[in-house]
Amino acid sequence: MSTSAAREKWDDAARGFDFMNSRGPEKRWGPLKREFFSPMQGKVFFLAVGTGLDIQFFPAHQDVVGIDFSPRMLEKAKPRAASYDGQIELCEMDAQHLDFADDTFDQAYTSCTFCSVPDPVQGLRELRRVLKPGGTLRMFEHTGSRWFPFNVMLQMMNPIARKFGPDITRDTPANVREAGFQDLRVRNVYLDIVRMIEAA
Amino acid sequence: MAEVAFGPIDDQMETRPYFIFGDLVSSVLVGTAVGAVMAALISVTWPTSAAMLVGMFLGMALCIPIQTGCSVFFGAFEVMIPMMLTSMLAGMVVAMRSSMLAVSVGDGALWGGCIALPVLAFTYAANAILAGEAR
Repeated sequence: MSTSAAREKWDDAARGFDFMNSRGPEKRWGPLKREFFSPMQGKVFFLAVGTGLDIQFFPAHQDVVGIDFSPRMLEKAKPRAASYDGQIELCEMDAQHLDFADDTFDQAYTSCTFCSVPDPVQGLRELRRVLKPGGTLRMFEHTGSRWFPFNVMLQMMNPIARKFGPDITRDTPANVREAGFQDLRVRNVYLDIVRMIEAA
Repeated sequence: MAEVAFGPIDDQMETRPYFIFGDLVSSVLVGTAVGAVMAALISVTWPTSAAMLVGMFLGMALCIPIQTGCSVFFGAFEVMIPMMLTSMLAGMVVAMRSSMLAVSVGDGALWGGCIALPVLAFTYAANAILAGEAR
């Protein structure tokens, strides 16, 4: 899928995004996400901010730059960023072509992002470029599964899922390695499908 | 890399009653609905193998709108996985059964609802094994 088609899809999805995600999924993952974001420090990059649902889980007093390639998502994120007890700058930007200089950020966070970036390895290479040496990447992502019957089911569901939203079969840890990150640590949150990944 | 990665998970099992209830209701709901539809649709004139395939795919198709509604309240993948498995299995089992002997809609619904229980137990057990630090 081209970047412009993906942007259009997520612009369309922005309308119902909060309705679908703000109750069940965010409440279910809320405690884990609070823990996931808790090590934030220094200059933080958050890709992709979406409608800003995750901002509620950020620790206070952080200096965050959040990007998204969907203008409609960003429009919905603005009030959440404005009410955050800290600094959040929002920018419309494509994850595959970041406008930041090399070695800009101390940490990078993603939350259900690399299921949707059209070229995930290119996006991760860009993330690695803008991270300072020794900087950490922390990801809360859903991926494909290695295990039957979950892998077969996700493969069968994927054509429908991709039409309206994310790819549900990606091997994101492998993509992170392919982009040049090392020292990967992966924690499965639900089966081997919802996962926290940390890399440097 | 600094040893900051992830804190320990003391208990991988879902313990919040709201979500356990949600998982149970979602799976039983989809099993019941798929079982009832299969019992209504499939008759003893169907070849068993065709009934099984139709049951599997139609079960999954029926699951999508129900799952979308349940996800709003109870979560994404934690709801989707047991619901999809239940709908596939309930569709196959009830459709095959209906192709071999007359099954009422109520019986089909009961079978479908009952299939949801071991499926949900299986996903909880699989999660207890797989969740945590990946190897």
